[in-house]
Amino acid sequence: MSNILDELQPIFQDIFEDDELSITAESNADTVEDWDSLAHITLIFAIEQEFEIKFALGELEAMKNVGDMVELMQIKLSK
Amino acid sequence: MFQQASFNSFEFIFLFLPCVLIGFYLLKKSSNSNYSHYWLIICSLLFYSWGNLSNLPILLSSLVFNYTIAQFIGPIDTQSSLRPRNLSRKFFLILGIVLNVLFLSYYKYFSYLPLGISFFTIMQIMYLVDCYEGMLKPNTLREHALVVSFFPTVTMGPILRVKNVLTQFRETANKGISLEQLAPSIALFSIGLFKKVVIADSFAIIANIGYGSPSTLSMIEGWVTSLSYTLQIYFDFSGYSDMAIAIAMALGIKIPINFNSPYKSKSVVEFWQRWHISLTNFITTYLYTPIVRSFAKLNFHKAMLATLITMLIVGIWHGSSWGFLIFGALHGLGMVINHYWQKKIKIKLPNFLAWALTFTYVNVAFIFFRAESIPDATAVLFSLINFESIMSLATFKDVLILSPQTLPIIFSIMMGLIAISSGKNSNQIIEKFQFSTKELVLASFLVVISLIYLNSNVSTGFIYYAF
Repeated sequence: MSNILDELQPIFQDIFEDDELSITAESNADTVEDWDSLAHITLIFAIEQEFEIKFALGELEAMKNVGDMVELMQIKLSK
Repeated sequence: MFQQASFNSFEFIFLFLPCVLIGFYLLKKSSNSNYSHYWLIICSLLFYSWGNLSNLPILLSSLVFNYTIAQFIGPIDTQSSLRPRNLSRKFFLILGIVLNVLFLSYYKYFSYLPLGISFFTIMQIMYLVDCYEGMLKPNTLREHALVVSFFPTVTMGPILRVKNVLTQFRETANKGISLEQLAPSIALFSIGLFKKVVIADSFAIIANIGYGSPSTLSMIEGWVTSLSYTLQIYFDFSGYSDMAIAIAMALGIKIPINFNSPYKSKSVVEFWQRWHISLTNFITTYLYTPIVRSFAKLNFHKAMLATLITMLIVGIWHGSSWGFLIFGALHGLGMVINHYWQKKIKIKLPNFLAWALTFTYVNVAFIFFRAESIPDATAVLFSLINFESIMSLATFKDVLILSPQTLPIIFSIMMGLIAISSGKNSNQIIEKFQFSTKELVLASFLVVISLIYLNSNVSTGFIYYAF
């Protein structure tokens, strides 16, 4: 779990243009500034490209925070 | 004038609801939990047909059609025997979506609008996509009918996620309900009823006067008119949503909130995160994301184009008139400016200024939403800066006298303004709900006042019935 989280940090820092940004499993649109739908979709794309996975539309809505995202990624990466 | 299936009637509150609830929980105790589902389906279809039987075939055909298409799409990991060898799951998904959209468009733009069609069509489109992506297995007809016809939400949403609701029905199959659990539901229902019947319908009277003679409005009247509608539509739709959530709660089903103090928003983007949340979620996930994905290389400007297209669709989802298109365009433009400001200009506005700008912009956009025509809309818009006639209240002269007719309106407007300034919205109130005497007295007060208003000629139909 923490491995994926570590790999996500640079992606988040890049998208939110904040090198100091440190995300946790609880991070979400409420806790990270400027995380709106535009940032969200850019993030998803970057993650999909980087990890070579694809999120279903229904899965996108279900993700409430980074922890959910990582859990979903683990399932996809293990396939 | 025919009656319409609605929550704000005596028959619904004192006859229909208790019968449904009692039947539901009694049947839950029987050997087969499906009996309670069939009961709910029958009651829901009865509710939907109430006063207008001709709507029913439309709901039923949409329901059966989508159930069938989902069977053809089939589960993601097995080969459905229904599908001919050369037709893929994707083919049936596209077919389903296209036909749903055509069905909705036909009624919306070329014919009268059957109750709830915009809402149950969207819900089922989401369902088909979810089936295709393997998020859930295709429903049985019972399951599908149960969720799609679900009477708390069939007329005006909130737009539900089929999988979520079915899971809850399964999980609560053997659960009864206690008075402690029913109490917050009753409280939320009374708040919603009060918002709609007392507050919204009274603001409606003011708004209707103003929008009825847009060319005579002074500056003050212009602001009063536009603000009245802005407040009317909020209390109307959020009041309805409160009632829908409350009734579902009483049936053991938790549905997500649809409004979260939208007029506190400090940006247009934030507004749509707080207004008609279930629609925004659908639009963002099932419309905006696919549009953005279809662009080869995503950049900021393409994302802005997608935002604009999405909001235009939101506009015309409400109806075929230019007013709705402009409403969508204004909000799309507002969001683009918003994103641009955040990304490129980066100056953070003081909270009060951000709020004032946003609220004024939202208020202006609603003018185009409400006005009977574009000339009317521009008349109201320009009255906001009518420096030639600032203080006149001639248009409202009939309401400004204290009489038995106007006193209830004045009272409810005051209640509305108190409600806004109190800071907490209905969800926040219910979260902290305690089964105490004080709460019950308050809830009873709301219900009694609402019933008095309901009995008078103040009360009107819900706004979003028209969508």
